[in-house]
Amino acid sequence: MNVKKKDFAAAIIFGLLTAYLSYRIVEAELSNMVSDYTGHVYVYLPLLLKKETFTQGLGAAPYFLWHFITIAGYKLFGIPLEYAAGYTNGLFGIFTYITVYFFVYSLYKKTGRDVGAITIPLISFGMCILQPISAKWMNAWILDAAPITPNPLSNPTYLATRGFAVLAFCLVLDIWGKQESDDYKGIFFKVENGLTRYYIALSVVLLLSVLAKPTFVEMFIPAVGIMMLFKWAGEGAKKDGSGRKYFGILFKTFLTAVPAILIVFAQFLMYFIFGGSYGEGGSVVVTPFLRVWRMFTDNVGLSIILALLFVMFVMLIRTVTFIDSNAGRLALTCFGVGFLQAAFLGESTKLGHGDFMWPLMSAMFLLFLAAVAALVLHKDNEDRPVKDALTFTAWTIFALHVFCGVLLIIEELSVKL
Amino acid sequence: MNKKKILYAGIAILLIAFCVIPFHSSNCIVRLHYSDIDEADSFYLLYATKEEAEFGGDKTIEAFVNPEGHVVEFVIPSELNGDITALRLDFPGVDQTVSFDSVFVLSGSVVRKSYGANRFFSPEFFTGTNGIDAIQTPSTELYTYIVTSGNDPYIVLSDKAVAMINKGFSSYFVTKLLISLFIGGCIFLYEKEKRS
Repeated sequence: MNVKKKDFAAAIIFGLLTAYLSYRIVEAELSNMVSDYTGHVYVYLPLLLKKETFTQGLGAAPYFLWHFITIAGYKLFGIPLEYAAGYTNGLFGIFTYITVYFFVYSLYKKTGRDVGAITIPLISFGMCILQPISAKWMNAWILDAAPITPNPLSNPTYLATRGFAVLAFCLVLDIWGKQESDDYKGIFFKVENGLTRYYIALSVVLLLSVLAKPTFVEMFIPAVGIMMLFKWAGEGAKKDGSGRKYFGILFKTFLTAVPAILIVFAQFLMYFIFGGSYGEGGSVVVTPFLRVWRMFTDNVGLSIILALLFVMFVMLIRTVTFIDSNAGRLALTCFGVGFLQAAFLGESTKLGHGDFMWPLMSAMFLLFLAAVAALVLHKDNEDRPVKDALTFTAWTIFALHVFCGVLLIIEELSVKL
Repeated sequence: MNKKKILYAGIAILLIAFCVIPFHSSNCIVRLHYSDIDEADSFYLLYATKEEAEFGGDKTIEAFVNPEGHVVEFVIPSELNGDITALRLDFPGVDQTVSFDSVFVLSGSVVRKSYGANRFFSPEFFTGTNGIDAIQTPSTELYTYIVTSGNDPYIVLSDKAVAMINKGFSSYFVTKLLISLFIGGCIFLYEKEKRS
């Protein structure tokens, strides 16, 4: 695949657009007294800025990467907090864009197909802003401000995790590929020379993701673990020693997650045991099935269909490519883990915040990545107009998701247009 | 029959059962969109059932005026699905003019019926009033103006309106059907693609 100058130009333009929109969203959201941005900028940041209240701030937001970068902008360059928050959002917006660009670019490179200059930037930009399909008569969202979506623009710390989620996804897929076959060359990374540096990279990415918001790894690590345990059981059943060999691989992979797991426990201690969670006696509770989710929508099934229409369509037209690929299986397992957390967990004093919906949203984001991978990597043996038409329809549905994202941004920004 | 066929037959039976067996239905929401209400107060929807044919008692649903969304929203619990025989819409008991522009009936997160206020507050949809001085829809405007007095203002809805609301409760059938078709489709297409 040749990369030409105009390809870079398109990539840069869409990257800047992503950053600019991410920045402008903060500006618009700060005019809303009950938005997440208002809480982070006007409550948590001032707490973290003063020595006397620093510990209290850390308890309220033990996932502080977004906050510390904002504070750095404020302290080092004297940028007012609101603007520094906007720049941080822009920074994480472009970071997500770059990682998705890298993901899609690597897929096309693997196929060896030439693509138009605008294709990869457009897909990457779309991935950063896409939203569930929405129509007024399908009034699926009771709370318009907090839909269950892969891209909840209303939450800065979730948005900060997306880039790390993409990198972790790529790393795990390549690590698995190499673990399964010594001849594996890697789609995203050059893993043919050994995995050590990629284990370290995965460990660092997971750790940074936890520091941005622990919700991604709360879903991702169990999902990876479940898949590897199943694989181990399968290898063990062969009774030829491959089970023991795979256990070593499993253990090595688990070690990469240990730093992130320790930090998650520390954050839980800060948040729930030492009183960081606002409200008296806040704790994680097991709720009746879908109790929290139903606070956001009357019809959970319809909400899932609207949020994942593109993914579901790709699963139908590329069933084998999707389900038999590591990417598809991992994303589906992530969705399963995220679904269970969303369906059964809540925070006792603030169920309505839907804090255990975040892992599910990260899983939705990964499902979109897996669906894009299935579309790009699928090889047809012969020219089949019907297959082409179905692929075109899939991209049209993707564009519809992106269009809904554009509409949402217009609605958000209309406050100050 | 091999094991796979038995498994798929089992899945097919489960999916059909999932579609056909009725779960609880969704609440029915009647949402009145207004443009102007002088007095921020509560509206009430009184209902009668097959067992208790009279209005009153605890058969009342309260809806607060939501100035932000310009809506008054009644949530009719799913337990009343098919059980309502009469409805009465009570306005705040003050002298004022309320202007509505539309009425939506929603359930299962889908708008099942929508009406312009001029249609919903037409004689087709109510049989009697009390304490209502006027219901006007100027031909040049979209709004319907309802002038209420302080003397217990209410509108008794017609049988047609009651029937429409009774039919408004969603049983999620289409959603369940779509999910079942998706799962069934994935399995079928997976096997088909594998074989080819």
